[in-house]
Amino acid sequence: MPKIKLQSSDGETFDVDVEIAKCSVTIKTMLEDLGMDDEEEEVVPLPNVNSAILRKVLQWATFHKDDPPPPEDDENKEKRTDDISSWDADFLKVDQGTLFELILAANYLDIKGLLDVTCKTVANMIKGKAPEEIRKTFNIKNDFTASEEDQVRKENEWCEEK
Amino acid sequence: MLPNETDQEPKTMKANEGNLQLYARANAPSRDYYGLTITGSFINLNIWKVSYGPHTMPKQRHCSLEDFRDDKVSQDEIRRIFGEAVFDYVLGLAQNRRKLENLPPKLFLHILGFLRIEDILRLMCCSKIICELCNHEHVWKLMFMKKFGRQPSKEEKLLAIDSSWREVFKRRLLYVRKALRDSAELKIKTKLNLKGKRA
Repeated sequence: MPKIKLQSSDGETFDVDVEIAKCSVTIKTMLEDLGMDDEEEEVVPLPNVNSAILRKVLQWATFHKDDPPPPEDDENKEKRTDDISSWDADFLKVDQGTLFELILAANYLDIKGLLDVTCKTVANMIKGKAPEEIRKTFNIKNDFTASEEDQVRKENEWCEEK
Repeated sequence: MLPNETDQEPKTMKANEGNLQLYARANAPSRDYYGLTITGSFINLNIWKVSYGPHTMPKQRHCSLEDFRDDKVSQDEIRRIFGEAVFDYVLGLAQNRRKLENLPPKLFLHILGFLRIEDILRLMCCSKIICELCNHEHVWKLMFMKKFGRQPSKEEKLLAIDSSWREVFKRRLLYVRKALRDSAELKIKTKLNLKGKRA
């Protein structure tokens, strides 16, 4: 199988099967624009992704290489977040900094499957929690005074189911 | 119209979804208005000086997030005009801080897309900047589509331009709730009537 080299922001190169690298739309487009030659091994620089994160991304892409393309988003529907596979859930047992880096990398590399599963993981950390619990989870500093916070709640009271 | 012109339209709209816009008015006696827009990796500051004349066009200042990191003058300006919460947010974006609220607006919105309305409302209470991010017009439009399971109608889109998506969502939700209540009441009444006739 033809391979390409991917170079992370900190200069490390990774040998990757072209088919796996192509799950990133960004890389796929770049290879098409470069006019890939099978004889020569291309080096694709990825200045926005460091080696630790790129390693994780490639691990994910290798496991998911035979997945069907993810369906188009339907904005009119409630999106499920309880459909994360156990492999993905284990894979995403990382610290919050890494999780956010993976979101940024998935966005930059344009890998929809990885972007969705990482964003779902963050959504699940918010779902069903009271504001104080959300603040604790994400280390958010509350800069509202008690009356300001009350005001925000009152402004959207009409929204709540009665 | 050329075919690619229509093709391009949704793309520009998509780009707008990732923008964050904030407005502020200077403290009295000054009546200047300020607008802050963050697009991708750039900060735009608009300044409208209000005076008796001669009237001048709004001034625009443009700076990359990267430059903002070390630009003390711009930093102080944003802090003075928009307050501590906004200043800290913009600085966090510039420093690529790995925090929920400092994700690029486009990605923050993507996460909100997986939440239910009640979760977004609770998230809003967490901090000033998160409240600002969740009150984004695009979020209210998204909530509208999720709640009613459809695209907004032409009239609703026009109303959103005149007022806001929050207002469109609120009106529709209250209308639907009232209709449901009325219909339930009517059912009870008909049942009672039937019973009365039988007796």
